[in-house]
Amino acid sequence: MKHWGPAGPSAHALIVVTFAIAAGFFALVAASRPAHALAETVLTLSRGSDGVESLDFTLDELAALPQVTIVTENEFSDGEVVYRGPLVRDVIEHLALGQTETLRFTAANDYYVEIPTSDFRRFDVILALEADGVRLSRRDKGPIWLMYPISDHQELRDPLFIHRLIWQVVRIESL
Amino acid sequence: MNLTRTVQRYLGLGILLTMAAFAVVGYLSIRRDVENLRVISQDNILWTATQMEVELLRFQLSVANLQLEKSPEALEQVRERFDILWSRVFMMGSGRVGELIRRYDQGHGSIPAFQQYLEELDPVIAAFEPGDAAQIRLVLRELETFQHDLRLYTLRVVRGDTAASAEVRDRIQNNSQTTMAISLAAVLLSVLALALILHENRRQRQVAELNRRVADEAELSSRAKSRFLTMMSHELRNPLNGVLGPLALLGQSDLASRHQRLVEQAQQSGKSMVQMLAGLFDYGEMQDGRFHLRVEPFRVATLAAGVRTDLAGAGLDGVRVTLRAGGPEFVHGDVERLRHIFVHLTDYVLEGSDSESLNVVFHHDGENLIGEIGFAVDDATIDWKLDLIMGLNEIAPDQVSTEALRPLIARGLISAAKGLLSLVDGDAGRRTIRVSVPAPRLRYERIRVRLETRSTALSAIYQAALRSERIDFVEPDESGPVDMVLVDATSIGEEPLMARLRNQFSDALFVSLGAPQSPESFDDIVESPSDMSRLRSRILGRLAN
Repeated sequence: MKHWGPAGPSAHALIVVTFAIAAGFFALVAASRPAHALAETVLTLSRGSDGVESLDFTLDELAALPQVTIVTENEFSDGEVVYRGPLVRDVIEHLALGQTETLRFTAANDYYVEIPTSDFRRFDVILALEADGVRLSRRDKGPIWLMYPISDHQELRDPLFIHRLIWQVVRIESL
Repeated sequence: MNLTRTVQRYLGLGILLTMAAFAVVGYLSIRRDVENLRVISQDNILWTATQMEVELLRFQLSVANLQLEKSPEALEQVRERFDILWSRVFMMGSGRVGELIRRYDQGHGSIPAFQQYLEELDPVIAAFEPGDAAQIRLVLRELETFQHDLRLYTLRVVRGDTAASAEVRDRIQNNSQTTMAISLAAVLLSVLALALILHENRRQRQVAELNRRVADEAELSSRAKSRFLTMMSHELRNPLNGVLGPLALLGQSDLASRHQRLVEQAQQSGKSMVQMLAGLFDYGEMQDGRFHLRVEPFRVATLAAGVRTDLAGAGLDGVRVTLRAGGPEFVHGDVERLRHIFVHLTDYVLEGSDSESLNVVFHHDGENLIGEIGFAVDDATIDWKLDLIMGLNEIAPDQVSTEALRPLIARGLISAAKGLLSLVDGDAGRRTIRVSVPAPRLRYERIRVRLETRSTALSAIYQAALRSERIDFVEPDESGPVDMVLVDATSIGEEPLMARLRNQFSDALFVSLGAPQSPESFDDIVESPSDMSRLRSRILGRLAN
């Protein structure tokens, strides 16, 4: 894979200049990308079969909602992990989706699960934005991972609920 | 028989335990099935495995799209798809799902190689330019080499999942067969247990029927003996009276003193025998269930005098029979049977002993008449006799000592009168046999009776037969309280008249002479009004309550 890098012999000064430019570029990118990422829509709520009513959330908006912490194990992580994020029932109430019977959660790769809203009334299910204090990235099942408090309820250890732990959630819609 | 019952009991217990064990095994089997289903469901990572291949294809498509469109949006799409692919491939090794992914890749190394490639590709993607066609082509070519490995990995997962499912299916099938066999065995055992229970039930019913027949026969036999005893004592009394009458006449004639003593001896023995026959007659009736007390008011002094006379007649004139002062003059009870009780007990205690040391004292505690037979203990055999009196050495009714006939009759009469018999240790070596019998004192000294009849003749007959020092008849025009109203049911007793009488004599006891038209209007009914002695007893009974 060496052919991918900007390889080739050069003078010391050239290397320094190149590194300086590269560092400046990456610093610019690093400074601009999070701001861009925070501003863009990460979750869309929609209501009705044609999705006429919809509501977009940025990561900042989700982070501004009351945050709940749950400590739980799951099938995809080692040991107990501290997850933090808003309660699903709080989020979906912004579009009164809690009154519907079932909601469809869709991931970035178009995978989806259908979950009865009774789950959100019975359990403190959250849209996890952080794991062990670190913001979830897209590469690590983020930025939004639906998380049940599995360790707190024996019945949630059933495969039915494990399959509902959808990650990279981008859309919640009523059926 | 006992061995069979023991075997049946243990067999029943064994069946119960076996069925309980079957139930436990069946329950565990079902739980194992559920757990197997849960595990196979959890272990199924086919979706997760195929996602790596699917996301690789979608990433390839996004890169190809960038090659065509060369736009910043297409480049952003490439980076997003790269992140998604990354999140799938780097699941390996993390959590239970990651462990399963690793297991299926064991010995092949397809996933770690792909992970390494993605790590090397990461900075390249970050530096991608929409128009960098050469670099894009290179990436597309290299990605194709991983398609094949991921396809093979997916196939391994498919086969592994299929094999695991088949294994669980076999396990569940085996469990089902085991459960079915257990259920069948349980049903067979239940049928066996039911048959045993029915058999045992039939046997128990037969035994119960046999016992009932034996009990009936024993009861019949006992009744026959009692009737025989009653008849015999009745039949013996008549000829004995025939002997005692002439003896009394003979005793009044002018006899030599030696002959006079012989006559007196014969009279004593005769009277003793009459008393004993009366006791036997009562005992027979008690055994037969036909015994009734003849309760009526009596003077306590009369009882004491009767006991004294009987004891003197039996040659025991040294016994002092006294009344303790302060007691009621009259009480209510069966004076004849009370006299027998004390004569039997005293006579028995005194047999072969000195009558001078013995005394009988009567007194009353407000509810009970109490008679105390006190005596000095100077004979070693007295303990044995007292044990007989108290019935302590009786093992069963058919094992009564032949010496114990008098105590036996006395105890029977005390029991029939709902009394108590006890032995009290006194001072200076004296002991006391204490008999306490319910005998309420009389509430009224006299009873005022009103007779309601239209027959003048009948009124005269009743008054002549019943009037006594304790019974006053109230004339129809006489005022004053009335304790009892006797109503001639044959000539009177209609509802309106009864209502008027009830209203007029609200505190009185209403007794019907004969069967009344409306029994609910009366407190008591005398079925045979011509039986004057029973009617008098009924009237005098009113004195006590």
